[in-house]
Amino acid sequence: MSAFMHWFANPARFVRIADAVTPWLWLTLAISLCAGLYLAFFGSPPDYQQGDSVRIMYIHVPSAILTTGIYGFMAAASAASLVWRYPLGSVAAKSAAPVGAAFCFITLATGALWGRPMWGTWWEWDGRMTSVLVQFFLYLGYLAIWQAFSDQRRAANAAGILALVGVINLVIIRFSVEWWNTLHQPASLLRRGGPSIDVSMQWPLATMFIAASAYAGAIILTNMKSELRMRRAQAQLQSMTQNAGGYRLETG
Amino acid sequence: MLEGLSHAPFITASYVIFFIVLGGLAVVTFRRARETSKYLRQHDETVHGGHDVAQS
Repeated sequence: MSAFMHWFANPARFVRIADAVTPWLWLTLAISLCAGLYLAFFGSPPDYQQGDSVRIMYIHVPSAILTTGIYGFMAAASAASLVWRYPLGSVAAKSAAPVGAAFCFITLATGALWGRPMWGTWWEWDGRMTSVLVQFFLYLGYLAIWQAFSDQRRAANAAGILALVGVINLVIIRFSVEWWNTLHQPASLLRRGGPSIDVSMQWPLATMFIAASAYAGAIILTNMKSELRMRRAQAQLQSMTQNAGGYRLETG
Repeated sequence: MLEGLSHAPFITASYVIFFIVLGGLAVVTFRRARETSKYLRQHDETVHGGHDVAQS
């Protein structure tokens, strides 16, 4: 594992791999999004209780899974950066944060739009909704930390600590529907005994999840490439100016 | 397409938000990537006399 991480840690090698993988992610996104939207609107039935509003699920659930998944990825990348000084760790976490924040916002917005016709309310301060809102604030806080420090190393350390502390909230999100009485339904996909959703609805859900994951992967890799190239150029410029006894270069 | 669906405004609004947010993020990402490339070209000309550091 450490040998693989060491091999992968070379930024130039990473950029080459990312350049090769990214077009395939866009292609996967295009195909799965078209198929997913067709299945969501024409290839799946209305729910026997919720009617057609169940179609909101095909964007709400993938967004919710990616919200927590991307934060988990950020925490793992931050741990790699803080503990093992893995050079791509902070770059990966920083690049993933806007994507996670976007999916978290979509989760909250579509949840409200789904809740209004089903529960009769846009919002309820229950465990699941509140913990997802906290997750959104964690994403914003993480991004704000990167903006607040001019020294990128200090920013990476502070943001990494926040990412690790925020993992507690992932546990709260996961179990909130079991720990507290809530309007939100219990887990219907990742549960003992298998998914409780009908198979005709699992297909559009899975297809839209693939589309959303491909999108997230493509954007994160694009962000990482930009960040790495910028850091490399800035490091070279900084080294030049220092050698020439010049001024301090602002980074960020 | 959604005329026959119940709760159409909620469904429409959800998908509109989904595409606007993700589309907006994609635009911002590509704009940043383009600006980075532009910056690197200028940087290469200044530092390396045209040699591409991004590929080196």
